[in-house]
Amino acid sequence: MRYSWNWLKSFVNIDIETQELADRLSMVGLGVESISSSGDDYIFDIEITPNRGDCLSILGLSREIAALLGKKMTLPPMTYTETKKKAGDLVQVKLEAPDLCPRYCGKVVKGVKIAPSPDWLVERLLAVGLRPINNVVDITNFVLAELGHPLHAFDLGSVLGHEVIVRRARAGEKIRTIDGVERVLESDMLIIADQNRPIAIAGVMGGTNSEITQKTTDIFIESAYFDPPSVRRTSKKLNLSSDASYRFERGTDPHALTKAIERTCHLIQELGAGEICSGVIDTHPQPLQPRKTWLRSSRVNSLLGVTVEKRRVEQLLTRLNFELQRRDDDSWTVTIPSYRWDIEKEIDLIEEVARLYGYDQIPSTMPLWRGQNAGAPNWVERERLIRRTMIAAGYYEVVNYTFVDDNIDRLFRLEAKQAVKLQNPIAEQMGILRTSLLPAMVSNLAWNINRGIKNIKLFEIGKVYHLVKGKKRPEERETLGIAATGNFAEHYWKDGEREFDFYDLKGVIEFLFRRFGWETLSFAPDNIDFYHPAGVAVIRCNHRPIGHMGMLHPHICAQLEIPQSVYMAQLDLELLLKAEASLVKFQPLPKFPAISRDISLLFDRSISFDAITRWINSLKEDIISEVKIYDLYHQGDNIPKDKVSISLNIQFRHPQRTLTLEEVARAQERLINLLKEKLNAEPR
Amino acid sequence: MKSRLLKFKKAFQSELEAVVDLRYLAELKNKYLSRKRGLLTVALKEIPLLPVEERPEVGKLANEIKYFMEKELTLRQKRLEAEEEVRRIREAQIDITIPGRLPPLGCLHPIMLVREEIEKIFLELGYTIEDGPDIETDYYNFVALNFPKDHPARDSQATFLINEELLLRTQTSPVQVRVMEKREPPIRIIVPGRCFRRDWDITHTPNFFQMEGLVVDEGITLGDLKGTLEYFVRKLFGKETRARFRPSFFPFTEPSADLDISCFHCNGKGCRLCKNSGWIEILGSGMVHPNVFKVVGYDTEKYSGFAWGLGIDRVALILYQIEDARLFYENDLRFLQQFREII
Ligand SMILES: [Zn+2]
Repeated sequence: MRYSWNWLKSFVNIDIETQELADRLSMVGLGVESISSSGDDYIFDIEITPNRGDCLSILGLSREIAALLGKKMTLPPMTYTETKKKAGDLVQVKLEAPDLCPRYCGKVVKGVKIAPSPDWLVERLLAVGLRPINNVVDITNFVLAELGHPLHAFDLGSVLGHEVIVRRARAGEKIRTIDGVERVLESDMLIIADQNRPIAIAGVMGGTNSEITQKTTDIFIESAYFDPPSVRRTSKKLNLSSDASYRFERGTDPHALTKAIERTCHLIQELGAGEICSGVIDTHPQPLQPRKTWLRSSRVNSLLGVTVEKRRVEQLLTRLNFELQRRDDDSWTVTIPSYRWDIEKEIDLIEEVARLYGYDQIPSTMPLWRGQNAGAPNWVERERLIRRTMIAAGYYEVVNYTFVDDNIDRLFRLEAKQAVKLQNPIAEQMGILRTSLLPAMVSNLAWNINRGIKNIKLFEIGKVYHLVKGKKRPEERETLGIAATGNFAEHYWKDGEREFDFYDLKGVIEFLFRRFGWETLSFAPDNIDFYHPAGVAVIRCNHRPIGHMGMLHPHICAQLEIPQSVYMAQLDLELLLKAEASLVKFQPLPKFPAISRDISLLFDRSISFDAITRWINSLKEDIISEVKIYDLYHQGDNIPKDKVSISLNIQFRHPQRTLTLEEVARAQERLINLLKEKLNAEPR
Repeated sequence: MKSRLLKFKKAFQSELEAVVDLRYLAELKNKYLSRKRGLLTVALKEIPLLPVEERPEVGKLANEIKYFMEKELTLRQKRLEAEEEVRRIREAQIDITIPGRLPPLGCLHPIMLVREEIEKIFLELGYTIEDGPDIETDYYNFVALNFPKDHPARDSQATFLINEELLLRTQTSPVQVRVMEKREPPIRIIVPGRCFRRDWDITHTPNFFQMEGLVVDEGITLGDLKGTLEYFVRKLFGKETRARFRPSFFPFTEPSADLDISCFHCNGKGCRLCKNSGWIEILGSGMVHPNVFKVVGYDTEKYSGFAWGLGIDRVALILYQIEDARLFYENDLRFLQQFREII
């Protein structure tokens, strides 16, 4: 909101410099964004918070400045002379909706000469950012800027039946507003109508049918108080706002309606723009009573943490035009100025005291803590540990928007899931809440590849969302996403290069689980459309599926124009964040040495390592302590096409004694025989 | 014989002088002391052929020379070995200026870094961490926080709607209400989380992260709010940081205050970061509004409290002097890698 320094000075004798005024205004909650010079004037741009509608005028800000500087305010001249013609004979006002318009005032001016405004008036309007139109409209705008009260001038000749009716619209009624748009009205909207039709949307905008034109001779000036929520609802529904609606929404001063009319009439007369008919039409079915509340000195002190003398409280609030009456030794009854809609209760007055007393005068203290629960809860610690683990494994953390493109998200969506749609997305390709972290992470890979970075390892921890059948509230699940492409590590001059592969991804997941002691992790083959069918697994923890991993399907890679293989995984973290971490149980260190044996066998191509270890476990040979794979290859001179050569390293150990070589040889033989029998293995 | 021995000694001495490596030393040793054909060995073997009276003297001399040679050879060998060792070590010298082989190391996203920094400060003060859903109801996001329907205060928070009842939370403040509903004071919590507003420009992204703080107990004052937040900004932005509280407006706090910190970049003199004001706005705060306490059933006469909220993205922008908030969500590795040193 723009304020003219010269205009303000016509209300209050400001005896400090512009910059000091700006600083002091900021420190009472009227944040000055900038001061700019304009001719011999300075323009203050001030951010007015939504509770302070009363400050949206020169008068309003002057009241604050006067309180701040402890000065009196001078009101501008409001006098004028009236002709004998009575306003009441020329127009009838019918107030049919007093709930939405508690008070409606009007004045009639005859013999209007529409002309351009004089320079001094144009200058003032321009200074506060208003566009001059003609003398009558300019005067109403001038009074709006000066006193903060929106006025509307109707061409009285166009008001059919000379009747001004304040009523709710009939559903479907139409009006063309002065911006030239035809509006369809709803039955809860307040309008101003004549005998036949709407002539203005109350508090929002006038209609073209009663607009001031060059031909206008008689005008009806409206000065009303409209219910703020009603104006706001209408303005929102019609998607139409104006300087008037902005102020009505924030609450205007119902006691200043006639003052605004007087000031307008004074200016009309000063400009010789018309003759003022006698009498103000004032429809006021239920006079508004002054609002009162109370304030305790003890409460001021206990909430602010400083003792403010009672006399000081009285002084500060009186400067802001509150009327205080001692109620008892501790408290006052306080009458609230009619324009301060933000003040209702004691707490509001305490804020006023604090604001003028100065926040900087309140001593800083540290509150004592007598509670018991302190420190980060388990889920926070665990999420941090997951982050740290991923970083230590060489992954970069990314954070993506929650909003994604349905068409891309769909590619990565498991069939059963349904996405949450937004009613008012910010962009078409951000229309839903992500059901998976992977689409955005894959596009992070593409973004970086396009910028010359080929070896990338990323993770993200964030929520995914989906609808749940039979439930109103969609589900939100904390999820870990992993995506990698290119080489396993950056090339180092001494080392060879190796492409990131399935086992790197699986390894980091196993690493993560091991850190928490969640040992019951398993991987099972599955069909998931967006993965390469040859390398995809469902991840299970305690036999419950918690995620999936694999190589991104080459079709999707091609569709997203990614020229390299992409590996990715997604894990649901909800269970893991809540799960008890398993307590480490110490195992005694082995007392006797192990004996290590390597055996190489040919298996059918379709064999799985899991099957081999399961059969070996079924032998229940106590002395086999570990089975590892140390080599695997398909191609080679003496390996048939349908076979695979697997070399196993087996550790034999007895807890109570040193094994004999014969014992080991016998166990090894039993093992080989079993694999031959059950898995069709052939020794090499 | 005697003179021949002395000649051997002399020749040996000069040849020893010329020896430069262990190979020559071995040859020299062979030449004189080889068991079969060493010059001195052969000479020693000839001693029994000498006349009896000469034998003791020559024998003594020969043994002295042999002892002398062996001693000199050993000394020489040790010296050569030492030199050899020095040379080997010198030759093994690698170029220590070549950059090392870095272990794999990723890094936290800058928003998460800042989030953890802030969490750390408040956890040390005895706060705990709470969270709540991203998808909220109008009731928790607005009504319970004293934002009436049809009130202009809602204008500052352009809201994403899901349906008639549900929306994406525009602030972390609904968690205040959720926590107070299920717990009695004293309360001392922080709430980090993702929030959503329909804004998108150089300093606003449609989702962003907020951190909320709430303290409720008997006798909490505006002075406590000031003291706590002054402590916080000194911890986060440095010991020299000054704080300034300006009256402001939030429907769910009263009195409300915006907190500015003295610009750590120019020390308050005025620069681009602080738009020449010397101050940077960091967060909004205030004493919990009695209407909010009423909603959760707290006794407004018995309890008071303060709350604050800040944009984590915004603090990260300021701390790292980043100008475009959208960079946070591009996830360009050249951007992310810059925050590697900070963990
Ligand atoms: Zn600065």
